[in-house]
Amino acid sequence: MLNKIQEAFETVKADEKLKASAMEAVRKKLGGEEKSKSIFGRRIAYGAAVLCTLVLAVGIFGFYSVYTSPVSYVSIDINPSIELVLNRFNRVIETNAYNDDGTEITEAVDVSNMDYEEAIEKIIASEEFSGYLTDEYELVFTVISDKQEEIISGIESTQCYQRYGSACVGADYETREEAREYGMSFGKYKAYQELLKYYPDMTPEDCSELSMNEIKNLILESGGQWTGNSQNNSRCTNSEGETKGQNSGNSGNGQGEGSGNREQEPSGSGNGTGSGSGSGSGGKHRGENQKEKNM
Amino acid sequence: MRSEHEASLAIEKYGDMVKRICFLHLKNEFDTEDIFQNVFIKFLLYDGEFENSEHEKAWFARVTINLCKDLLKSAFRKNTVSMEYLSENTPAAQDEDKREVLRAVLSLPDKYKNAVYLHYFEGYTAAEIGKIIGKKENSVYTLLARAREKLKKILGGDDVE
Repeated sequence: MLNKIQEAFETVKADEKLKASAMEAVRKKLGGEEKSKSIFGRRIAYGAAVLCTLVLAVGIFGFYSVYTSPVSYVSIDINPSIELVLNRFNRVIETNAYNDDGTEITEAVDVSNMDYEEAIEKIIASEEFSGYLTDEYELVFTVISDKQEEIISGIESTQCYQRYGSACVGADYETREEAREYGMSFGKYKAYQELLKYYPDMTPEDCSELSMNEIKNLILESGGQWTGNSQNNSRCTNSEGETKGQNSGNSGNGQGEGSGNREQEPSGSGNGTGSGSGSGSGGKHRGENQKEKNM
Repeated sequence: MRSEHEASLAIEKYGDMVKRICFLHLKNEFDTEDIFQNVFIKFLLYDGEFENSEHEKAWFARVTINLCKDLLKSAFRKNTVSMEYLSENTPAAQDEDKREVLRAVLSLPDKYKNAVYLHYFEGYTAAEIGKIIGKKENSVYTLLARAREKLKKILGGDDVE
């Protein structure tokens, strides 16, 4: 049996064709593996790298756009008129000066990328600025922002404000648009608008040469109202109806704080002229409304 | 992965055996080619080391047997041996005897086929066969005995061993 089976099976062989087809399959397998490891793998790696770079670029660009987008404005007016532009993180991304005195300060004091409170502290503490803190001065901060209260509170809380600040008020974006047309800071422009009531012929150019203190005096002498007082313990009139320490016991002010509350805007409260006429516009009945009534 | 060169050597060395085992189980040329290729591809991908060529050969036998089993399990296959397939693989006409033997072995149930081939052709012992096909040594003896009986019956009783 052994023999027979051996002999019989010996005739069965793997012919060349079969062996060749096997070699073919082997080569294919080898080639395929290498290809997939190198080219395919490489392609994926390459694609991934490009994608990552793109995503990173977009991310960086996006962040940059957000970081440099103006969100709020703070106008510092005393004699110099300086404007700080803040981004959504409340950092200073730009500073503008609206008169020569202001330019002197902005060139001397660098506050870029600083938190606004720190920036203000730095400016007011600077040597260049100290020259303006004389016996009689009026240091007014004006804030334009969707988060006005937050920033106003922030300014109020700074040491420099508590020591030297005269007033801290709000304004709306339109004021700034108009002010820029005249090349004035919106802080001073706001004051100018009040001044116009009593001096209708006053040109913006003339006004821009006046210091805040001078403007204040002109208004007061004409019987108008002024926010804050020249002593440095004035309060920001946008806070919840606080009127303590207000000048001459008037509970309102000629500068139309009503504007500080954006909800009141639609009723034209922006400029304090006939603003919020006690109509309680905007949902918040803040002190301003009551003050306005008294006007 | 093993190299093309190694695969080529293996095909030369074990190609015949792989073909024979395929022949034992599969019924047509296509399946044979399929399994034949797959065995050597498995070899290509096999990471292990062989202690010696005996070890290697046994590996090939085992893999071929298993692949054939899998194929037969997986699909409906013709259960009759085609005459063409048979004659293709046994060239000479006067080998009618040999063809008869082959036919006889092929007609055995699967579990006998492997034992018969591995013992009578490849010369493995029952123990070695047991390792290859996954059975106990004693079981292999039994398989072989029974296979012998059957073959005797089919082939007519000469050359009993």
